[in-house]
Order: sequence, then C-alpha cells, then structure tokens
Amino acid sequence: MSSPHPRLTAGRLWWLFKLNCQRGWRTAWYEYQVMPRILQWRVPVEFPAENRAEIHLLTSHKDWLFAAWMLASFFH
Amino acid sequence: MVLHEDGTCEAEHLAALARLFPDARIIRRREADAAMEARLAPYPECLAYRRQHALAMKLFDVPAYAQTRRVLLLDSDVLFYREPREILDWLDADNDETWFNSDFQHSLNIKPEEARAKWGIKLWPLVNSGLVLLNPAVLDLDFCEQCLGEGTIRTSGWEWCIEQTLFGLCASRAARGGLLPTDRYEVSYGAQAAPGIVARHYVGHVRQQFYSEGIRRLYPILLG
Repeated sequence: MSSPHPRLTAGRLWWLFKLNCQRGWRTAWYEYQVMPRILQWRVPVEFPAENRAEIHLLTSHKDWLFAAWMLASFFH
Repeated sequence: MVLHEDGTCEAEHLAALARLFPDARIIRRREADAAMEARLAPYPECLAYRRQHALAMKLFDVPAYAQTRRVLLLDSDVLFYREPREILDWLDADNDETWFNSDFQHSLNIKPEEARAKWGIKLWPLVNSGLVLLNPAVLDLDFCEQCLGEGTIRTSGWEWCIEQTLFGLCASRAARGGLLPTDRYEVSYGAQAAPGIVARHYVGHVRQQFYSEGIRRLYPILLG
C-alpha cells in the first residue's frame, strides 16, 4: 500500500521535522503509525438492501484514509 | 454508499476502501466527467466551475448519482463519537428537509442581506457543508447557474467556500430544514472537542487534532 504522503527528500524531511516539533511527536505517531491501521477494521453491520438514504462523500489521494476513519466512526 | 473520487486517487487506495466497504459504489472522476459534462452542458457557468474546482463535485455529482430521495453527505475530516440521533431521526421522519453542520463563523461568499436583496432568500448564515442531511432536489441547476453567473460568490471570499455558499443558498431558498445543534455537531477551532458531542468537523488548522484527538479516542473503540 503506497503512502498518501509525497516522496521523502532532504527538504521534506526537514519540513516534517519542524512540523512535528511544532505539533508534537504524539500527533505524528497517530498520523503515521496508527492512522493506517484502520485498514484492519471491518464493517460491523450489514446494510439493508433497500436504503432510505445514501451516504455520499468526495475523496482524494490526500484524504482517503481520513474517509476510512470517518466512515468507520459513523458505522460503529 | 457512494464514494466520489476526485481524479487523484490511485487504484490501490480505492481497492482498500472497497475492501473496507464492500457495498460502496465507487465513481471515478473520469467516469463522472463523461456523464457530468453532458448533464451540465446547458449550464456553462456550472460546467466551468466543476472543471475548475473538485469541490464542485459535491454540488453537482452527488444529486446526479443519488438513487434515494435523501443523501447524507459527509466530508472525510468529520469524526463521530456517539450515536447521531438527529441523523437517525431525519431518516425516520421521511421529510424533504435539508440540515447542515453549523459553522462557528460566517464562511459563505455572500452576506445574508445581499442574498435577500438579490434573490429574496433568507440565508442560513452559518452553513457548513462538511455534514449535510441533504434533499438533493433543493440543488436547482438553473438557480446555481444564475448565482454563478452573477459573479459575486466566485469573486468575493474564498474559492473553497463557493460550493458551501451554493449549498447554503439553494437550501435556504427551499426553506425547509436548518442547522444542526452546535453542542452536538461541532465545528470549531477549540483545542479540544466539547464534552458530549456526537461529531466534530476538523476544519482548518485543527486538522492536526483529527490525529491527536480523534484517532486517539477512536482507536481503542474501533480497533482495540
């Protein structure tokens, strides 16, 4: 599974170091280590064949993992 | 469930989402473009806006692909912490209302007094389109074309607010629904989510809290 983050260059590593110092390394831990684990989650309900409403969302390469967390939190 | 992809996702991202949500319909940008270019051909302003901004897909593609009378439209940076009773009640009520997250500041590209003067609309001022209980019928393409052609909402304010502004104008024009309670559905720059909230939309610079607050709270519940 490729990362949603761009390729690491020296400049990006320095930028990330500064960002993580600013926001805290715990936040970085949750982004890089914990966030991808949502791929192990399994939907706990079966959807009825006839739905009264649909869920729609717009997603991109930057936020598809966010979308997975959002939907998992909704269905749980 | 319908996932609209904005043209930037790789196949493996979508495959991962399909594994998590096997019932989801995934609509890729190139597939949607073919259909939407034809659908919006009579609406040049709408078509130009859709070509320019991916967010326009929320406004135009969602009603075009909806197969139900009501749609729950969600941004990916929303997280749920409790049962969304208001949403479930809306589903049960079987009405034609549209409800939005309530923002903590005015983030529309038009002021309420301008909306009233131009179109006679009593604009709901704090509309946030990150969480919408939507009656797709309110999104009137003729009216969107008129609003976009008028120019103000494209030239004043932020580009990312155009879609939100059109949602607000269209729904306020239909005048059925309103804003969800702020003590249950939070949009804020607060350092922490308020106690007892159902959902929080992690907008702007509090996006970092999606990780440090949201994932930290939800990980033990969802995956622990």
